[in-house]
Amino acid sequence: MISLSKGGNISLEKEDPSLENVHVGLGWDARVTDGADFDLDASCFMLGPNGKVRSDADFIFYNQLKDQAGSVEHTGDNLTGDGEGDDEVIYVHLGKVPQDVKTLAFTVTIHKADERRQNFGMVSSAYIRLVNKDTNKEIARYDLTEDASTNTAMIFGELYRHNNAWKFKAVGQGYDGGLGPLARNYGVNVG
Amino acid sequence: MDLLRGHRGKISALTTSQVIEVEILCRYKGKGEVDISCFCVDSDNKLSDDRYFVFYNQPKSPLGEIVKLGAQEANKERFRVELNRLPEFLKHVIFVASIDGEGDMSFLDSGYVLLTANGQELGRYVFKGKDFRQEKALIIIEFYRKDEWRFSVVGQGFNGGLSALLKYYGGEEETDTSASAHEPTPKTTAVPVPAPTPAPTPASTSTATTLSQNGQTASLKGVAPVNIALTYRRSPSVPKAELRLGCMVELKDGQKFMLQTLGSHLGHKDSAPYITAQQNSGQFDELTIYKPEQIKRLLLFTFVYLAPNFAKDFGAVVILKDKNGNSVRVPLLAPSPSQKFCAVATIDFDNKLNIKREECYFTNHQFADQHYKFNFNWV
Repeated sequence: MISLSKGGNISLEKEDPSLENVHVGLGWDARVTDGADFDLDASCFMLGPNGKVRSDADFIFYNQLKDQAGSVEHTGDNLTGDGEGDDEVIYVHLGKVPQDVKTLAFTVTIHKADERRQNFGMVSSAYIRLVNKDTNKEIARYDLTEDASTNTAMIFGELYRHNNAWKFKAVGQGYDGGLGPLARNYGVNVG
Repeated sequence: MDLLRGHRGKISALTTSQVIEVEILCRYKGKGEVDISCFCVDSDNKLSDDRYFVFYNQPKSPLGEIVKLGAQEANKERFRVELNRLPEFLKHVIFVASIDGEGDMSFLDSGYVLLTANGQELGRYVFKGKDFRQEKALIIIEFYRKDEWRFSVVGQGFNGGLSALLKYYGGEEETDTSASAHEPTPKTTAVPVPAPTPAPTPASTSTATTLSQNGQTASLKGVAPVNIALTYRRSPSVPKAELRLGCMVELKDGQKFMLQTLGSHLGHKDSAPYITAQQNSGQFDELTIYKPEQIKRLLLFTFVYLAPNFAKDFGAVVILKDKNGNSVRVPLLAPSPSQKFCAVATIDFDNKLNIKREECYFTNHQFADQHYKFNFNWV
């Protein structure tokens, strides 16, 4: 596994040439103190050359679990963090990603962070990671609790096409605003 | 630096000092007042040694690593924490505020926690009643080990108050009766007991080492049999109390055993664990190790029988002695007034027996097992 610094690029071919199926896992511990649950959400934006979604169908999240090509699949919303291991998972079959999609951006947000006045530092053991689904090898991980404590949303990283190969860029950039503003930023028509 | 709820970071990013002063104020407008205390928990988030609970009745930890400073003021406390001196098994230092009276934390007028080192302000977290709802006890801030000491501004709590908070950490709320245990033990004459079985005259080359600080180590060449004896005084404050001796052991082949000088777990000389426990009417109990080379690791312990807790004046000493008369003494210097079980020392073997002083107190055998991870099947 590689420890990521912000903006570092990893060539998946070099790092893990066998990569065909990607698993992006988001995990956190359920709240033990009293108060509103911590509800973290993993999402994926499928972006064209202009850095925007081609259509709203390219926004994969808890209310839209699959893309039309069947290349990206979100396994479902976890509202509390209950359970062992990854609490939310997005699978990507790189070979099925439409050619005009140049970048897959993965984000994590806290549901109703403003209203509930929560941030990642209040959540125990929150992380997001990128794994080779076939070998179970972890390629990148970001410790949200420790390293993004005062953030409420984050762009974790981007898988992008480069010379017919997929590369991963660890972005690790906190985002000021929730999933709505983030989606609008990627060109999604959010109601 | 202004700190926010949820804020985390490395202490080393704030200061080069490992001595941090923590001042907490909670201005409360409800009926009653706010008690502020500090305690440490282990890697399982458990309050396994309540000598590290620092509050008005116990103003410092055993070695003064945590000290409550200044006169008691309503709703306000100051603590000095020497992070680098805390025992390794303690992973979190937790500062809590709890309401003694009516209402909840939404009745707070305002409050803050201020961190300083060498008189310099490192950070300040300011909070208000509207930050909370029905919590009656709050974790304000904590220090924790993750590669190095870090801080976390928690600002979360429990509606059930201090008892709910402590229950989460495996502890119980201090009641008035247990608080009296912190008062000095009445001065009465302790009944001295004669020395244990006379030891063979030590050879001129034999060594005698006393381990008086936790973590300190010593070795015995391991010439079998190795005798381990417990001595202590009967305590007038708990006249019925007896101390018993025992060990949890994992052999090189993976087999695990627990032996003690009580009940039927007395071990075997000629088969695994090659250790026996001899009960001598509850006084001068002994263990004998016949094959030290079979030991992977061993936890030596003593526990209180026929009384609820250790007495301050037991003056207990555990002495390990090999066949050549080399000895290692482990005196118990800081008996926990509220616990029954004491992990005395850990032992492993690599051509010699390596003994490391622990003196760490637990509620019972099972909690100690959880900490040392022998993973016995408790029923």
